[in-house]
Amino acid sequence: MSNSIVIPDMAKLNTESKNSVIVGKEDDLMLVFLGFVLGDEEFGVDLHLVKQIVIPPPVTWVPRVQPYILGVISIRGSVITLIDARRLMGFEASDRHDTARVLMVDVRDERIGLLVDAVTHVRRVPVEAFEESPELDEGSMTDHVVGIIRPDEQTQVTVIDLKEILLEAMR
Amino acid sequence: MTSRLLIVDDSRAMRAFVRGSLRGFVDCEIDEASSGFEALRLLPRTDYKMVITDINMPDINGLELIKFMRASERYRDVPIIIISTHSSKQDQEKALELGASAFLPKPFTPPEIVNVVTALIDEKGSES
Amino acid sequence: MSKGSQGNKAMKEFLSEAQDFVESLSRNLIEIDKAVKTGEPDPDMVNEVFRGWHTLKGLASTFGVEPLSLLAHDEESLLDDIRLGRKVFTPHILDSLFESIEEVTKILGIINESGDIKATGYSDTRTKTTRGQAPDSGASGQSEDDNTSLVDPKNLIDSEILEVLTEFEEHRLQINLQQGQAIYKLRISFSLMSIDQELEDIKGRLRPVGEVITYLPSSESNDPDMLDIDVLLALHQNRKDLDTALEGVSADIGTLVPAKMTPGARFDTVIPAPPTAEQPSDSLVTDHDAAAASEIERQEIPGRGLVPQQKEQSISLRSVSQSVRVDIGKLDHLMNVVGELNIIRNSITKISDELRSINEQRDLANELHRVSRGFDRRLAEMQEGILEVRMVPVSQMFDRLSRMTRKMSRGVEKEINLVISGADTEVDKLIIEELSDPVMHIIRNAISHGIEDTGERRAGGKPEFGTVALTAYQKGNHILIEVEDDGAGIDGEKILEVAIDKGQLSREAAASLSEREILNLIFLPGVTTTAEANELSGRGVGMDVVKTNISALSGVVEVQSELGIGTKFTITMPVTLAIIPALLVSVDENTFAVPLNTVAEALTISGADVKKVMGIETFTLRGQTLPLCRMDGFFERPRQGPIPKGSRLLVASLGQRRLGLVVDELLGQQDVVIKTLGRSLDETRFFAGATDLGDQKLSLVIDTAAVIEVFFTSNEDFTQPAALVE
Repeated sequence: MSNSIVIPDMAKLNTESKNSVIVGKEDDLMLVFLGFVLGDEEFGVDLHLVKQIVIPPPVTWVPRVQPYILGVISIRGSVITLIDARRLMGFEASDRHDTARVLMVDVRDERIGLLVDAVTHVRRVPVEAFEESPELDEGSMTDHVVGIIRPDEQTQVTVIDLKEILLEAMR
Repeated sequence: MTSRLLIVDDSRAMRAFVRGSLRGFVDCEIDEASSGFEALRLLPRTDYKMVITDINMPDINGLELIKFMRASERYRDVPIIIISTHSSKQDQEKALELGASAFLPKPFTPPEIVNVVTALIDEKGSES
Repeated sequence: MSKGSQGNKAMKEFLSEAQDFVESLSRNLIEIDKAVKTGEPDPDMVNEVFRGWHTLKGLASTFGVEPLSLLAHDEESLLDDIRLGRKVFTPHILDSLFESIEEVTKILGIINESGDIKATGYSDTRTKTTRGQAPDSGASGQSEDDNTSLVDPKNLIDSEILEVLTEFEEHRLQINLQQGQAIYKLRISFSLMSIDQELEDIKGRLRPVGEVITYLPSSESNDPDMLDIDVLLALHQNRKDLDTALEGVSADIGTLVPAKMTPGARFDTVIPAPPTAEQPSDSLVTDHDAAAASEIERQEIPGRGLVPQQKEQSISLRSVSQSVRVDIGKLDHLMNVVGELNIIRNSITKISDELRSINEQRDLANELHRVSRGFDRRLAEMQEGILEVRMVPVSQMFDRLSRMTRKMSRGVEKEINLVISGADTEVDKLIIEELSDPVMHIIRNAISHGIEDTGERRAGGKPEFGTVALTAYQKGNHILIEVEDDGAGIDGEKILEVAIDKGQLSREAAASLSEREILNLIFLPGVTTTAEANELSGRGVGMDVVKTNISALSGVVEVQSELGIGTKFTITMPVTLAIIPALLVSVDENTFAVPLNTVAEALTISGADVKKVMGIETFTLRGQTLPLCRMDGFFERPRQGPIPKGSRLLVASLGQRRLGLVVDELLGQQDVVIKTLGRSLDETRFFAGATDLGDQKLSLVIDTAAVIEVFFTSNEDFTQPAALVE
């Protein structure tokens, strides 16, 4: 498959942490996230959660489903439900750019696709640099903010508990 | 030359268990037979270093297999390990009388079967 | 790593093998149950049940499934006592054995679901209590002392032979000696190459004439490719029969112990006959006399002739397991590959068509066309082959059901006669798995509500035992499963009342319903024939769930009933779910596949052909009114105005219902591989799955049954032009 970027196996890393943040080797505790963009904001998710990143294939509309479900796509012969991260997380819909990617994640024994505007980097930060859940406005989405990281002076990444968000939506 | 070992048991899970237990500990290729008959068919093909067999099997039982092997010029000295449940003392005694090399009651753990197998292989090795 | 995956593999083998045991155990128990009612069960079968538990115990303890090994241990000891003649099967013992099977199934289910062997909570009090309460449990009339009266084989049989017999084999030998059967040793030469087939042949020949105690391989053979085997046989027929059975086989027949005259004991097979005074202990007779004696026996005991027949039957059932197990996932994968080959094939056809239009390339194009035709044929063959592999006989499901029926009929104290036919009908494995619960529910209903109490039945002039007939057969691309009872039938009036009470139906609407429509109201939520939720029929789960589950498999369920005569449920299912011929249609520029077997015909339609009936758009097809469903509206993308010219009308029919599906275009017909949708799309019930047509984009496969279902039951109006929907 030419349109897929496979993330190296991160399973070696321990994932004991409750909010599914990956903790690295014992001696130099680093947190590892995958950064992606929605609108003008960068988000970080547990790298371990993302099994694969693919360029969006053609989407088939599925009638009479939740508005955040874009439809189904075919990935390596499997039928995958594609979820629009913008709709899911309360962003306004916009035109799709060439940078758009699908993050493949496993939720409740099912592999689903999450359409994001772009993927940035794998972000590694030392534990000390992780600002845990800041006080934010009450809201269904802000509840899922795990923390904030600042990989460099210009960049701020909102770390979210993607799994919880998906589970809540699919309930 | 890799040496070969034969597991005879009508339970494929049991065969898989024995195979899995020995893997990495015993330097042998492992063949499987699901019945006494299949064992009889496989025996002439290779010089097996050891046979591990159940007793309670349909048609040809483990006891008959031991007797057959012990009566044959070719298989007389091949170590035979019996894996069977404790349920019949009588069967167990018969097996040892007929010339089984060891009796390992089910259930056993991987280290237990590894111990018995390696002990018998070593014994065999030091003889020759 | 390798260690872990090995362990995993063994664990998988354990689960699948344990499942096999459950199936063969229950099959054998059902046979034994039948045999106990009419005579004695086949010792081979009893031994197999023992061995089943024995192996299960060994496996369970090896894999650390404590509760299972405890349970298996109990049952193993019990069966051991029975096979060694220390106990006999009583109804209570059989009950508890059936219960144990259910228990094992439960435990395996938990392990399978959780993937954790420690997840199984099991108290081993159950077996003990059940058996403790049984008034006639445990020891039968046969006391331990009786064993001492058994013939000691040591005086009659060579120790060379005795030393290799397992305890059970020795016991069988004793029993046969006790009954005065002749013991023969048949030396037969087998070719090592084909020993399995040859052995099966010998087994088949000997089965009708006696009981094989064991096979003794001899190491005396000089030919390394041959193996001499001594078959230790207890001959139940006369010597002539043995010779006939072995016709064409070169066997060296030697008599170890001649037959004895023991009237009354010759045909007993499991319980050693109690020693009686008239049993002559020393009257050796010739084979010929014994044969004459058995001849007389047969006349004196009517019904005994059935015994060998039952044996045959059970054996043929058992041979079913002579097969390779394949993970259904692997077959799905193969199916996917075939699906992809189909896509490639379509591309090749397209290329060859294009080539043909180029003059200079005509020869090459024709060549390519010819080759691709050959490819098509082979591909179709392969597809068929894989489909065939997925097919399993419904007997798998029927066995489970008859076990349950038996248990249930005891629970409600009704005599139920379950008549099974068509058990060898083959269905896709997945369908069997999914169909089992709905069918079970229907049977439950038949037993608890359908079949009347014995008193009532007597009063009504019916036989006291109720009959539930479970039938399977194939009809075209469909398999039909019928559950028919000769019970009280369904009272349409009552159903109507309940449906109106529950608000499922207005009184006005009720008045217009046909008899068939009234009966089918039982598939609505909350509508049931009986007021109180009964232990058996289950609380809360109604026929609506049955219907939903069957619809989910693209099937339909219908009911017919006559008061006082009985009720018949008919389930119609596609033979397979994996690959189906489909019509490709477009709706609002999206391509959908419609299973061909649900479409009776396709017509062209325009707004002018539409007649309204009470505001509902209909079409008159050969004098009959056909309601129309506009798929754009149904899919919530309704378009304004009347149905455009050139639209297509698919006449969908499932069971008795017909509905006209209005689509934009008909794109063609194609075999499609259906891939299931993820759980996240559970809420949409209108699609059986998606299929890859080769244009990189998936197309949804419309579940016609679900569409029809929703169309006729929902209050939404899908026939109206968009102006009304807004």
